[in-house]
Amino acid sequence: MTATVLEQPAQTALDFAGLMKQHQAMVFSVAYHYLHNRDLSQEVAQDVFLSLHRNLAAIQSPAHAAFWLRKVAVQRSIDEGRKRMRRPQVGLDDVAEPAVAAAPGDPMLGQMLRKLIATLAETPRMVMILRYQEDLDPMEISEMMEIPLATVKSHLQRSLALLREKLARRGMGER
Amino acid sequence: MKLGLIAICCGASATALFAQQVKFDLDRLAAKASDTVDVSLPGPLLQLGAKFLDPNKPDEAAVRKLVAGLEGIYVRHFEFKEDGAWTAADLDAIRSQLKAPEWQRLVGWKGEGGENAEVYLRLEGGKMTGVAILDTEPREFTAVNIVGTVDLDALAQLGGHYGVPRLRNDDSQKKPKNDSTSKKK
Amino acid sequence: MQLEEKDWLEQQLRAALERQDPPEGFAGRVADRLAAEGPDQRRDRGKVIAWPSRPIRRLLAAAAAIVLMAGGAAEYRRHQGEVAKRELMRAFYIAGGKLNHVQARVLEVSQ
Repeated sequence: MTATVLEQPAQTALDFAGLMKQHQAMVFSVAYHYLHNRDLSQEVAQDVFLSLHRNLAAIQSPAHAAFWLRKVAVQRSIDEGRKRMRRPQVGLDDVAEPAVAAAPGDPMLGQMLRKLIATLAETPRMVMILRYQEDLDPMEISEMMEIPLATVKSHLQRSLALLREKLARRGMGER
Repeated sequence: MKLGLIAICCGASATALFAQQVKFDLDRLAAKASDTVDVSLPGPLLQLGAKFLDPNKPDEAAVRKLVAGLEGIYVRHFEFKEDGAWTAADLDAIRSQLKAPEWQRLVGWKGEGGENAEVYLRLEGGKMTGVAILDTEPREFTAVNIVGTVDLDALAQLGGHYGVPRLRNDDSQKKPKNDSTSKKK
Repeated sequence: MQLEEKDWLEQQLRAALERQDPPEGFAGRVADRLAAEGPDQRRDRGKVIAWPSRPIRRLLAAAAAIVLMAGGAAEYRRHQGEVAKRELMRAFYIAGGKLNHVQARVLEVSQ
């Protein structure tokens, strides 16, 4: 069940430190799951919050802040990813997993899924992150990324099929 | 089916005009439901949403017309995996509010096994200022409060647009059954 | 079976893509960068990019902020409007459906 919050503009001043504490996991995780590089993701996440600080006066409410942060995190992550494309590519197997808390479920499978997500093309990769990390529905993803709804649904369908096939080839499908 | 949840925080000044007329204290049901729809759209948000309706789409055009006289719409709809999730007390908590003199029951129907449907109108100075709908089935509980004046026929027609069979006069004529179980001598 | 496979994979994806906190000290590093905002140089994979002079950089930042502010607020309003519209349609779908249901039941009884 997703929660959508529509608010009247906030009467009180927004607390930057509070917003950062509330949303740092979201921003870092969008960047990390997209870029699959711990250091770059930190840098992107820092940039996003510095940008929030500069634009705090324009933020209308806590819900607006959440929407704004997610959107900027998506944009900055994609931009950073494009910059990396111009540099020598690093093999996925060379990219170490960060020392973060293990996600629930099969850790091996989780690690493989994160690596496979990172091999997807730019748009489907971010679509998958917004769907399965942020739990946005296809319509919300379409608005966030400014791409047609049909394109979002098509990316979701194809990415799931591709992941299933790759997992099966590695003997990691559902038993 | 995954359904959305929406919550509204209203400024104190707006509350008086667009306030929900019937209080839905149904958190207990929300905790048990497998699917929940929780929509609260007071006046300003109702009108904001209406601005984005496409007049070229028949259903959205119909809703646009309906919204014109409204000041708010509040819906709680729950679906459960098992019978017995809601009780008469949940219904009575809402019904008791509809006993106030400004509310009049327009129509009511009670079926077997917890099926129940009621429509109430709120009248002030002879003018309609609200509608309340209660509809329950063994595994469903729906409460609706529409604040303002609404064309009930047009609203019911909308129900037909969405795949719920629209009420037609010939629906009442039932064809005789072929009794396939009767044995021939 | 296909639906179950899809559900399984989606479940695993949600687990794999669960949000993670950034490494410890993140807030401190942001605070350091905020405090140091000035003519510092930003490293980009070893490539040094010189910052423009302070007054120009402030002007650029202000211009970018204005564009972002104008676009950001309007965009958020549009997002709110689209969400409100979806919820409006959903509410009327349910209300209309239930009213139709009541009418159908009452008509059945009156026959």
